[in-house]
Amino acid sequence: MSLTLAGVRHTYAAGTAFATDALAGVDLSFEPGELVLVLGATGSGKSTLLRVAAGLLTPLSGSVEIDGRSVDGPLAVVEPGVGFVFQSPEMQLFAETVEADVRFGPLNQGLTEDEAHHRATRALEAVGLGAEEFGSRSPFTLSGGEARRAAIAGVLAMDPGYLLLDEPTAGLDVEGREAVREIVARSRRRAGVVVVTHDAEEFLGSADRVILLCAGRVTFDGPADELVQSPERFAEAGLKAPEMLLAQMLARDAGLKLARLSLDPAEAALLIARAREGAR
Amino acid sequence: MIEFIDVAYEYRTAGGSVPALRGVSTTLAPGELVTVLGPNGSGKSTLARLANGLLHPSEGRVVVDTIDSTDAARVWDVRSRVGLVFQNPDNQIVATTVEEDVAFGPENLGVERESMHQRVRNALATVGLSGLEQREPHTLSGGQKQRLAIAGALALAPAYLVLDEPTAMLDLQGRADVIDVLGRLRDAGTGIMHITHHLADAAAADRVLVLTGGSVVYDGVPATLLADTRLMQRCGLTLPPVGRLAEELRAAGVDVPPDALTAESVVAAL
Ligand SMILES: Nc1ncnc2c1ncn2[C@@H]1O[C@H](COP(=O)(O)OP(=O)(O)OP(=O)(O)O)[C@@H](O)[C@H]1O
Ligand SMILES: Nc1ncnc2c1ncn2[C@@H]1O[C@H](COP(=O)(O)OP(=O)(O)OP(=O)(O)O)[C@@H](O)[C@H]1O
Ligand SMILES: [Mg+2]
Ligand SMILES: [Mg+2]
Repeated sequence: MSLTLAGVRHTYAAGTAFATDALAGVDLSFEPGELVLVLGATGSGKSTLLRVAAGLLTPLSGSVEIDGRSVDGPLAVVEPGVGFVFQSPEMQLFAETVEADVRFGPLNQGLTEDEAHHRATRALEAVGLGAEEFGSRSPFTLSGGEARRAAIAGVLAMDPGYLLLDEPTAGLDVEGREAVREIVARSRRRAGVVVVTHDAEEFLGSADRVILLCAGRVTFDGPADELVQSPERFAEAGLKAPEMLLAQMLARDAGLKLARLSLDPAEAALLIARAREGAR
Repeated sequence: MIEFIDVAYEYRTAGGSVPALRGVSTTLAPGELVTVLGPNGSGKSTLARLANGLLHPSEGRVVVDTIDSTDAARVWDVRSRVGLVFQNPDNQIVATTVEEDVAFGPENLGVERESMHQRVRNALATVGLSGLEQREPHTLSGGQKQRLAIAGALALAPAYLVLDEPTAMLDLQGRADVIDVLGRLRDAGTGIMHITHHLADAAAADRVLVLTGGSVVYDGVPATLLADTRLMQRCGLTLPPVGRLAEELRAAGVDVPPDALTAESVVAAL
């Protein structure tokens, strides 16, 4: 399954005093088995891009195709086969119990009660919410991080061919972030995964491709390592570089001749040690 | 001073009760910045809601500047002393424009018109939302909503400020800016409780409070926690990559302090 956006522009509240250009001509494609990160400053258009790709929002102009089939018209529902996790999990939770919430998707896909229950239990486990403890709770009584986990489980249970995640690690603890990384790693073997995030360090090491969005435009679209080796690209997109890269940039500024930049602390320390020897 | 004295809290639900906090005793003094860490569901937001009297303890007491938080006659006294920035900014939106939303709190406190305009303008400028005054809050992006929620609290200028994951949806620059603002407020005498999942935020704190399963497992200076790998593990915390870089450098003989969790502080040691 591939997702293609061509010449996509979107202006909210077009023609009013509040007209806001959110996407200013975006051409992108997402391929199966690929993990793509989308990074960008507050308000740069990331959530808009994801909503357009999911078929939830019809852009003012441009085209969106899934497997060569055009997605048009005011769908306002997520395209079948595409799993979409909203930035705000509360947008997604609605049923009386957590279990019913997660079961809803698979039931809707025509699975039997038994199969749906099985899927729900597995999905809740994957996000670290024990069905015993949380299954019968109302989703509206969950803590912030628990709610995000439940929202992710609801999408996982549908076993989507494409996974679009908007800030999936925001508000998660160490164990929750680890669970999301595992889910992403597992999903990409069968599906394409797009992750919009401010936690670049969480995924940069495993991403195939990174897209930098700045004021509705793509300013970088390339392999993760290319971005790591040219971290000035972050500033060009109005972003602060991740702390690990910043440290190595500062070390270079201070005169250390680092052979390359690394996201791996052990390797970076080694490269810094070598550069210091070389400087002696 | 806000005092939590042997506080327990249980949520009542249809299916029974959910214990959220037990045996919690801690304080927040004026001019103090306390970072609160802990896994999902450990009781951080519950602690925040107890601090300003939104929730009343099931056991123990919460006392704000000698006022008991359950004192029905002084509810507004407590609320106006302790400003709360909710974890979910959607829950905090009360007005139909950004500007009115920020003005809502001060207006309720009876701040006069002229100085209020100034307050609102300053608060929006501080969080970088100038220019969006007339926008409908619900049309803002996730990070913009979060900035709006912070602006609302800043405009109130309360004696104590409790912020529940105020940077969870901000970009890295936005996060750094908020940490800066909190530092300045602290220096000006505000007591600040900052709830976060970013361990690096703890480096800027006077004290760190760590909750797990509703109990306090650490309450002390950041350096002691950050230097103790075992303790961090027990707290369910891990160092961010730049902290691990510092660790590696330390192992290689570079003298990097344990609370060096920013690029600047690590490179300064080289
Ligand atoms: N319904 C709307 N009406 C008007 N403007 C809108 C609307 N929705 C979004 N916008 C504006 O469009 C721009 C892009 O918003 P979007 O939500 O895509 O940003 P984002 O990159 O996801 O930001 P964040 O990191 O804060 O979530 C922002 O300036 C936002 O204020
Ligand atoms: N209204 C409620 N009814 C029942 N249980 C609740 C309610 N609100 C919270 N809880 C439970 O109380 C415990 C503490 O929740 P709290 O929101 O304080 O956690 P937290 O530390 O803020 O977590 P997070 O990091 O996910 O925001 C959790 O187990 C949660 O499921
Ligand atoms: Mg967004
Ligand atoms: Mg919380």
